[in-house]
Amino acid sequence: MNLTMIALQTMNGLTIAAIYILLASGLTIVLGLQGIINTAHGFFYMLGAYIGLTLVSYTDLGFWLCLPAAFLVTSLLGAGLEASGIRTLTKWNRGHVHQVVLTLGFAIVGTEVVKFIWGTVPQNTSVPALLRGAISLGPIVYPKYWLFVIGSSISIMAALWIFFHWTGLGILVRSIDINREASEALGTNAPLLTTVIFGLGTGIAGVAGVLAGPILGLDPNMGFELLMVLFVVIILGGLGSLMGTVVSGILIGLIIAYGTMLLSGLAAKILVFGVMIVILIFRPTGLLGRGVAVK
Amino acid sequence: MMLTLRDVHTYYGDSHILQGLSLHVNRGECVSLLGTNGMGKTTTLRTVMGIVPAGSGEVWFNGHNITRVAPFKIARLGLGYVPEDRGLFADLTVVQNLSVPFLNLRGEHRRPWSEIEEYVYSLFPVLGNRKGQIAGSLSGGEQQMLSTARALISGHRMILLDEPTEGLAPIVVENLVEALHKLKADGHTILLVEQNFKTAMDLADRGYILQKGRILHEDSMEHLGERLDPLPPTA
Repeated sequence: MNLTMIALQTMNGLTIAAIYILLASGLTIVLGLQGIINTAHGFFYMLGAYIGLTLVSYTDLGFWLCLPAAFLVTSLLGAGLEASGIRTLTKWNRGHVHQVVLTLGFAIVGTEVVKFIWGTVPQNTSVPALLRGAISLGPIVYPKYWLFVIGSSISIMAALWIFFHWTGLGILVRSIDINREASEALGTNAPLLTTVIFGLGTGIAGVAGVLAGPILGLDPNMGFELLMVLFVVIILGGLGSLMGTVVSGILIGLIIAYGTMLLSGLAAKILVFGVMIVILIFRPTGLLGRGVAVK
Repeated sequence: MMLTLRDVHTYYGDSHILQGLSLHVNRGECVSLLGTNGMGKTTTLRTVMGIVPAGSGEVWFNGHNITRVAPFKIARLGLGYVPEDRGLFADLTVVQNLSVPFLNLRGEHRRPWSEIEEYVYSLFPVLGNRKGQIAGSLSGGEQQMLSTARALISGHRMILLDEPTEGLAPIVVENLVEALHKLKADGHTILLVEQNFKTAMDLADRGYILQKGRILHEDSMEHLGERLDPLPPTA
């Protein structure tokens, strides 16, 4: 393996990581911060990808409007799922099993609707004209669009970090995470904020779907296939830790890139789970976890 | 009348904790709830705050029926709550802890942050020197002061205090009691749960003795002192 191959696989790993990190950030916000297991997260990713496909292929809106459009549709749908379904389960004191059944059922029905509308044949979204072509990066020539995905992921993660640490709304959300009862007793409308944050998480998944479309392609099961890896990313990073999600996303992206090249695609996936098991043996709360188990 | 409870029954699962409890607190008054452990003092405060909704009966606060109303709506009416475990946001700084109730102030109750800071730090000067410190790293007394200060921002009409002096060193208790005296002098309405009868006697105008979720006696603190049989020895 020469230097060019190492550089190329590292960049490939970082591109995969960029998509995983975006997707996992939405999942870790709702699971780690709010204790909600959303197995429909992959569905929102897939839906975002199909919204992108439609807007790029059949309208003049173009790729740039796909991103806010996919965010809007998937976040509103996610907020609706939380407000109408998950909040009711919480009110009835139902636990995680019920959340899994509800969100999985929603994802299955939603996937069938997507198959009905867009069909089951795998498709591809085209790359916007501005991002076609490649850039020379030292020993390698790398696609502009893939670099754009890495940049988008970094920008969105930075925005999330600023939101949670430097805005009033972010502080309220963190107070709910730390002590929901005390926060409500100080006037925080926790049910409303939970809905908003759930919508934010699913909205980011929709954006990730649009970004991944031209790289990974589209098919109605793309969300289910990614879900297991996403859970590995957030568990390995430490539930609720955005920084942990970034670190584990990069680690897993690189393992998949190098594993696929040196071994095979299947072996790379097995390797991901193997690494997770080994790390969790020595660090059960994940790489940057706060020692908080799933609530 | 600032707070009124009428024939309130509260349950934890099958356990019947408050069994027809009735009490009232007048505007500007400090009232103490006394009784041994497990008699329903904390449950009374949690029921008022809506954290454990009343099964039956009525809770009225400042002219609003708050029975089974969500806690955040009750807080926004101007009722503050200092729980027994202080309920701090341990990973947030002192200022961030104080900003949570501030961010939730609405309409006419919204005041400038500078005004709130000035008030809080004049009452608890030590917090002014700890603004950027993580709440979880404060001493027990400082944590109690932060919890009380936080409740005062949302509870501009009344505060509920659950065992504020529990586990604190005598000198810290002295400082805290001094701050609570200032609150009283400012006209704050206070409902206080306190095991330490000396502290309760010092602060409260009137008190109730609870037994098995019911009011056993209601009287001035001087007279309640003569009926101390059901209470444990005080420190």
